[in-house]
Amino acid sequence: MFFKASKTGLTVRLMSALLAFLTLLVLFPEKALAVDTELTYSYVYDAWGTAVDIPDTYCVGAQIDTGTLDIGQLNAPSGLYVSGGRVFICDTGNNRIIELAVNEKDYTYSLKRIIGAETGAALSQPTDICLSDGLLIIADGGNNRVLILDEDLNQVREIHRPDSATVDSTVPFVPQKLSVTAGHIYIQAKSVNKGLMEFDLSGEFLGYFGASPVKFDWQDYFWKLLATDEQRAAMNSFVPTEYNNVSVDDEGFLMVSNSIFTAAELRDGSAEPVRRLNLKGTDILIENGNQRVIGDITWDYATGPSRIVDIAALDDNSYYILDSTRGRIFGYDEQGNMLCAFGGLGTRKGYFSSPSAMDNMGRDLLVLDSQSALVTVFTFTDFGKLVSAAIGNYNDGHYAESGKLWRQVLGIAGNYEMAWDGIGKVMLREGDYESALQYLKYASDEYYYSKAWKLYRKQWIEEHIWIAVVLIGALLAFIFIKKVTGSVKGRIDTYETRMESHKKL
Amino acid sequence: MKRVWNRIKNSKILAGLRYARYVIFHPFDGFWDLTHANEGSLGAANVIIFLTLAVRLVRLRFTGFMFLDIYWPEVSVWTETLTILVPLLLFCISNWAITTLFDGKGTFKHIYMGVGYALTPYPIIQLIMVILSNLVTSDEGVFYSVLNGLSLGWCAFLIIIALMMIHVYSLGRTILSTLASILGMLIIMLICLGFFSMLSEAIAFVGSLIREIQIRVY
Repeated sequence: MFFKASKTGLTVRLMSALLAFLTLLVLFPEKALAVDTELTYSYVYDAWGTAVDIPDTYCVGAQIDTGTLDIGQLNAPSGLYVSGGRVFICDTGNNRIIELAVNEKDYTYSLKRIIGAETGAALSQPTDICLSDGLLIIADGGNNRVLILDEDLNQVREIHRPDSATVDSTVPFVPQKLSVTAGHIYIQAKSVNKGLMEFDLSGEFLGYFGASPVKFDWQDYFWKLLATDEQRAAMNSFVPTEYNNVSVDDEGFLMVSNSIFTAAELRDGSAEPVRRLNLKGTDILIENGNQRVIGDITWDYATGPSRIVDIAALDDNSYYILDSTRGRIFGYDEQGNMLCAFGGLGTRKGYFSSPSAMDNMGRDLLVLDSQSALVTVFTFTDFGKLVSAAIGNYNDGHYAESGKLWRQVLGIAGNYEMAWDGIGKVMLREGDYESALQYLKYASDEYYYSKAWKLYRKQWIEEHIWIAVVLIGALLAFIFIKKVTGSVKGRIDTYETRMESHKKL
Repeated sequence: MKRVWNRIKNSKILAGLRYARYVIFHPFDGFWDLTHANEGSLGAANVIIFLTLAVRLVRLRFTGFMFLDIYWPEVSVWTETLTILVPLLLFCISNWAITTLFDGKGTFKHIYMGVGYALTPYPIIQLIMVILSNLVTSDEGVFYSVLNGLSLGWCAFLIIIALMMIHVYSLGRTILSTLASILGMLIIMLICLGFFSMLSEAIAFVGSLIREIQIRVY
């Protein structure tokens, strides 16, 4: 009986939902059907770690389909480099690099050339390319070298495994990813865990750079103490984890990612998927946001945490990281506040089968999918432009303008904590501490709330100091009056007693 | 009116509360006289425990934003209350059970009263903390955390002394019996858990039996 009743309930509900949908179709035919395939699903994490839906900041602007270029099927492309309107795709499996000319406005694209055996550069499994000073620097992993060509594809130099005591001569030199900054080439090579290999443009080895700190805790130490020599040999040796990618941000700092860690290490904070290295090789990534820069903060056990495979840093100091686990892209601002997360695994536009590399063209993001051999171009939506402009204006010191923009953002997405935070900070700058407190509270920004509170408290005390002055004054006056009257009364008393004694006499 | 006031003023509970003020600063004498000289009152202990529960709720509502890390959708008044009350009562029961076996002089009433009196600093300091949390910035949060530690440490110290005096134990014996009481709490919880899960199994069994008969017969 019970089940039957609930079943009818469900049918009725389904019917009414269908009816409502049909009514919608009849009333607003376009609107009800307008499922915008260009948009993906965006969210951010709030201070409690809940994923909150937000309007998309990025949408698919175009897709570059290498299938239309008549150059055959790409085979596991794994590298993408963008410089101006030039887009390089490392077609790793076919031992060639494809250079495209892409219009930065309307994304029309055409084949410029193919760098490979036909054009005089015998590449074997190239995985990355980089442009610097009119030189093409190619990670030619299959040939165990880094190849440097000039613009006409004449070989300028080769970099082989350096002849140095610090370089393990038993491991083949397989450069995988590289970046150039400040005239130095930084190479992430396979099975090298001492950090990035640093070369100058003339090919001289300068040393290792920016190794991640070695993790070692007392538990490991304890077990190692008990273990026999054979067991010790079989255990993990405690070495720095190797990076999987390296990019350069707008200020010339290296952004590196690594994906070799366990979920537990990520939870306890010992794993650092994203690092920003200064010239000394120390990590200067700012993580002042409500969450750490690790991509997804919750995950199911089977798929595990986000594995960051590439980083693209924009000119406004925000950066975007590409997660190969779920095919998502996470955006962070300079302070490590999460701007957005979008994308996913799938076959729809804006989703990926196996995302392998990402780079930026201006503020557009280009993502290479190694399986479908498609490059998806993400461009800002109006909402994304608004957010970006609000952050940019704040960083440039145009606080009033930034506040205005953040209010517009808030009008669109009331759940966007960054907007509350932005308005709060602007109000703090403008001296409206009381309102700032309110906004910063909504944004759960304890740091700036504390700052605002300190100033508000000071202001309050300065405004109300007269109460204390009046009170103290009143107290002093009271004491004084009491003393005066007391002494007067005392004198009267003595006078009276004297009179009395006089009378008695 | 005056008679009512006098009655309140001379009530045993108020006298007991006044005695609590003496106890927290003179724990050794205080707790000794609490039971051995019948200075304490059960009503006062109840009031102190009630105040402890009340201040927990006040704390949730009125602590300043910077010092309160709380996710409101998951807060329940009952959970907040019971997470104090249940362990407290369990501890009293378990401690009574253990000390009865090992020459403890205190009765259950004495233990409950002693623990109740020992909680006195908690509501007082926590109330100060609530006020303070609305005045200081997070840079000055050290005061807040020191007070928090003080409120807990003081209470823990008082509970140990209370049990020591009530049962006429040495310090080492008190600590041992306290640890044993905590173990006893766990055992009690385990038994309760087992009991209730068995009970629900039994009910489910009877229920399914009835359903089976219904289906067969009709």
